Amino acid sequence: MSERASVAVVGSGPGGAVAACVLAEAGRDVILVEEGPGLGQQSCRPFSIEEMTQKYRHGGVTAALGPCPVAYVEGCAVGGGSEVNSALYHRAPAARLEEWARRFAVEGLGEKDLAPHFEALEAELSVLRDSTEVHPAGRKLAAGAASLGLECRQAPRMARPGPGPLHRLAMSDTYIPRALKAGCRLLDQTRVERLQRRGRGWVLKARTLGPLFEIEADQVFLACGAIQTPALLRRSGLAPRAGATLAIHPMAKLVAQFPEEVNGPDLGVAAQQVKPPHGRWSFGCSISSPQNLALNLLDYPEPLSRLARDWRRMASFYVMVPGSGRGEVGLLPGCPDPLVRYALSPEELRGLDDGLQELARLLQAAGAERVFAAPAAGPDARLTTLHLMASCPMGEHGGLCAADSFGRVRGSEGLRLADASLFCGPLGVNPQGTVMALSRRNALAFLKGGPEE
Amino acid sequence: MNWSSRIVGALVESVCAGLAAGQPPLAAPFDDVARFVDEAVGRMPSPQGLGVRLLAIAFDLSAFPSCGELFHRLDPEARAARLSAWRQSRLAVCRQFVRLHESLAVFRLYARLEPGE
Ligand SMILES: Cc1cc2nc3c(=O)[nH]c(=O)nc-3n(C[C@H](O)[C@H](O)[C@H](O)COP(=O)(O)OP(=O)(O)OC[C@H]3O[C@@H](n4cnc5c(N)ncnc54)[C@H](O)[C@@H]3O)c2cc1C
Repeated sequence: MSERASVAVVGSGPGGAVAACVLAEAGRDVILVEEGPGLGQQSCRPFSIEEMTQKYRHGGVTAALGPCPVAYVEGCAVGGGSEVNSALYHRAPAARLEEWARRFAVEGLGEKDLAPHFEALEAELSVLRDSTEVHPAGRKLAAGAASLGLECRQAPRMARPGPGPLHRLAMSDTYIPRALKAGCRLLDQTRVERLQRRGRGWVLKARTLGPLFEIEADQVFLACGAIQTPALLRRSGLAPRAGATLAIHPMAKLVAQFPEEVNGPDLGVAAQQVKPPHGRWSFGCSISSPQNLALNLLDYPEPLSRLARDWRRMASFYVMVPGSGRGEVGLLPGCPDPLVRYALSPEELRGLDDGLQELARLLQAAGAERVFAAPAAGPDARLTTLHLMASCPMGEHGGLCAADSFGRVRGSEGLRLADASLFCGPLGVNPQGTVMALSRRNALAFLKGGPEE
Repeated sequence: MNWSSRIVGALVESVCAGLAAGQPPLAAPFDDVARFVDEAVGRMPSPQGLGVRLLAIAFDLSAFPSCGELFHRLDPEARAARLSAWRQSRLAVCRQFVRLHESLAVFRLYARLEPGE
């Protein structure tokens, strides 16, 4: 078996889905290759055990190793992380874009340059700015913030407009069907193992539950996410610095117990977020299903033993810091999976610790009877992250950047990046809006440059 | 059942029994939990998954000098004592090994409270 296309997009998360859609709708012959299965949102309940096994890479049991290990998760399904996330949406903060443009010499990355891309996405995705969602845990966060004089905002969400229960929008609802309608072919459950240069184009050595086969393409857009993109580049002997600068937003969690019910089946995650002006941390609501509460209560045997009775009065909250530590995606000889390492900076550790104390105060001010926080520092810290980025930063600063300002991989003509790996550092807000905007910008720049680009 | 599944099964039983949550739907048997934990470890990325399997063997063998038996063949009380020794070990890797299995076990066990379970 072999396949051929003018453009191959590898990975169908927010970055890959948008690139495939833009290119297919412009009339290009596109093939979208995705390691995970095409299941859609209806295949299981959100945040359930089935979702972990169906749609998360390695069943969601992955950790960045280091003095304080950080558990992380990656989506692995048609639609990537968008199939399992909360669909919260933010534009990239202008100050962050400016800083990246300055330090990494990125061209065309000002707020004004990205605005048309954000605007187009927001119109296409019906990003809800003023949703009427009412989530009891979100109300608690808002009430606590008000008593401490902090501002609490409801983050916009990509969701289907109209009455009825919230239906978050994933790539399998939006850009992937559009790409397919425009003629893009989708190969799901197909993992690209290696990339090889052949003539003026590329050969992707891929596997669909069987022997390796070849996909030939003139142009390749890699969108495997911030861990798998550098891993694939390194397996292929390309971009030796790929993976050296992984950034994350580390999070610590706590569980608050209230006198009244704040939780229930299938409530989802509240969109309320608190970002104090000092910028050292932000707070938000976390998945609060019984099993997730149990995880966050592991250090507290007494409330854990009463969870069956009390879980509807409990909710999980997070403190997140912007990320100033050092991460790396490496490969060990003979191992197909990357080895991820992350060393938290003293600033991050202090931020998590101080932030947890402030969050506990906030929730007590909102009426919490009891607050249970896991340790946020040391080898027994319970840290997690959902936001992985910046492993192959873009820009014209050759020493720092794996790709140029528009995602072209240095020294590899016809190979581009279109995912969160392109960020130049931690973004400070939920990243998928920015992943999509950058991908759209880079795909349009490619189309403008012509097929020989 | 292979050796490593037996170790995981014994570990999970010890963790779940120790949670003192033994009311239905959280009561024994814990076969579903053990199966989930074993499969989850099997799905881990290759460098870490291999490390965890090797540690499980070390954990099983480490009971032998003091108890004259492998961990998975011990009675529940002796198992709880071994588990507690590793949970409080000076070696971070031993504590993290127990932590990983505890996390996976409670995650699956408490998912029984979900509607439709
Ligand atoms: C639980 C969770 C909640 C989150 N909540 C939010 C939120 O509310 N808002 C927000 O903005 N962000 C959120 N995020 C983060 C967001 O989902 C990611 O930032 C985003 O998905 C990154 O997009 P991406 O295209 O870079 O990569 P991904 O979404 O990771 O997509 C990469 C895709 O490539 C595939 N792939 C990888 N390697 C290969 C290969 N070799 N061959 C073929 N295919 C491959 C993967 O299977 C995957 O489907 C959340 C993430 C998680 C996990």
